[in-house]
Amino acid sequence: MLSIYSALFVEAQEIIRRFQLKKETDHHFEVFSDVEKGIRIVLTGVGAIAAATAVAEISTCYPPKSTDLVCNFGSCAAAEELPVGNVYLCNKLTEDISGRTFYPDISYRHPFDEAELISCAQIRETEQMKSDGIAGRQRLYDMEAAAIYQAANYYYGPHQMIFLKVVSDHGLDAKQTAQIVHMREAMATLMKNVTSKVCPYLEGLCEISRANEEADGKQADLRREAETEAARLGEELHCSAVMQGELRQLLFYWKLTGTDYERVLEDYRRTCLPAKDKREGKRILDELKARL
Amino acid sequence: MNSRQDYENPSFTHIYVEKRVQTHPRTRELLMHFPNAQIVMIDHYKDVFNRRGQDAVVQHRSQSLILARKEDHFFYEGAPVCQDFGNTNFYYCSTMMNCLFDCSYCYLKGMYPSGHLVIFVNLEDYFAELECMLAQRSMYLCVSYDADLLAMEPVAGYAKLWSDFAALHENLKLEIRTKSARTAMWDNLICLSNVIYAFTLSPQRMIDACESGTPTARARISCALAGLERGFPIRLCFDPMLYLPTWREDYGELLSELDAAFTDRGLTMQKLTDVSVGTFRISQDYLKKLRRVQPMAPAVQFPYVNIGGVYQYPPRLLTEMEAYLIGELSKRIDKENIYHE
Repeated sequence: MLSIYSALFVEAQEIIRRFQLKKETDHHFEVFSDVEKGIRIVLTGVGAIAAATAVAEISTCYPPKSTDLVCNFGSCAAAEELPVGNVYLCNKLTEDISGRTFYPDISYRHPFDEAELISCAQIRETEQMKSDGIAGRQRLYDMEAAAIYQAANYYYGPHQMIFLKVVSDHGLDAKQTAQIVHMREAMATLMKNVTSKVCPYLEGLCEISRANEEADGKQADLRREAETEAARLGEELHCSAVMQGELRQLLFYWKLTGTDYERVLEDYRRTCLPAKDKREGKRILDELKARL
Repeated sequence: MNSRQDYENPSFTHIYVEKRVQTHPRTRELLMHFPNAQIVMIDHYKDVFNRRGQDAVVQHRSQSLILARKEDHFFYEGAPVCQDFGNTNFYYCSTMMNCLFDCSYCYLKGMYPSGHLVIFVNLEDYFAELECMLAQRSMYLCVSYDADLLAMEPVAGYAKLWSDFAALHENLKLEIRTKSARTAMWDNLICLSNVIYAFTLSPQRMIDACESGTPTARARISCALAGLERGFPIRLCFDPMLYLPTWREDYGELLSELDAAFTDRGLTMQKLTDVSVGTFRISQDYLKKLRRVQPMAPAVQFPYVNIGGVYQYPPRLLTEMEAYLIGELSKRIDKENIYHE
């Protein structure tokens, strides 16, 4: 499953439309999903606390698996040398208020430029961005990414996190900040324009997650089969907890290596299983281990 | 879905550089090997290497490089599970953490929180500390335990630097262990009696099953023998010996391949410095983590027995495997030059 967290509907609406996601109910946040396609979008609202709360709530409702991916997609500000409409994958996130820095792994190929991002508590103004600019560094500014990393890190590893940002402006002056609500239309157009680049990438992430889940499923099936067999055999051998652990590992190894152990067990079942007591069971377990 | 290579980044597309080593000459040299890499500046390597929730196996498939400065604890006393080959003052050091190769059973995946490869660029600080230690005692130092220095030699050149250092210090004996097979490396290294190149050998079936990305058995043998021909001290390590149901046949084939290679070059195994034999063993803490991150690796999921906190093969199997190989090797090299735990 790919879980995408965006602050505003206007940032996510093109993805919701493109993937034809259905609205979920019973959450404190707006959630759209298609479980078959393996994608879910959560609208967090603006700011760090809202974003972290959304990640925590949705990750509690749908506990992420080791094969799942999480993506923060949204708009950001940048210095003037980074054009509006450019999409960046973030390789470094700094929380402005604490100075703490986080590094999502860039494990997967992508068609975007990379940049570092600073998450601020308030909208960054143009003059502030100019004063903290560093030559040669591609810097972006948003309000949620660092919080999403920190919250998501309770459920996901850094190799499962992706931060994708679209430059929407070069910082706002005080007057524009007051008028930000009127920028909705411009933002919608901007997001529509990047869809052709962003959506195929997101589809790719869904496929990666699905492929990982399939591989993980095979392992889980083997593990489950071994557990079931170990439970039955454990009873027949009157295993202690330690013996049961050994038996489980032995059976899992045999399953993994394709060892034909079933015939051996059938022979034992015909002759001496169930064992008469734990001591006898231990002797049989030792015999089974010696068959390696 | 296409193969993993189609969607995962190859190794070293991303290089994290500590700000404090940004201008270090070795940092610059290393970065020249990766002109297209994305450079990410960091404060401290642990900010990346020690992050919470990492998966070393996933990371290893698209490994990043971290260039850092080692601040202290340059040298460690040799661990009891490691062979000292009869040497006193046995130490090891880590100028790199993690390996280019991806062996499923490797203890590094159980030991380190990350799969990314760290290179400490301040080798001069290791040398300065080592000078002080050598002023007090002779030392046997293994420099390629927590990484494979020779596999990284085309990029980092650390084996050559260690060899140059050893040339100036007679009371230092170095071991550089490797699974690499780059025969051209011998052209750049000085032949010294106190620098031993130790090649880990495994049967090809085990390489195919467990040692992803490593050179073939034949290539490793060929490289080791090329060094031996030129007079370099060569050690062959049958360590770890791994179990497969066909282990006896597999090790038999490996020995036949060795015999043929020695014969082809007009050499005998007596010319080796020594050989070592040791079945796979690993601390319980590392195996616990390794089993979690490598759920489908038979070498990791084998039902080992825990003896004193170290997981190893059941005693009967362990004895059988080691005795077989020691017996076979005894026919080829003096027994006092065969080391085993």
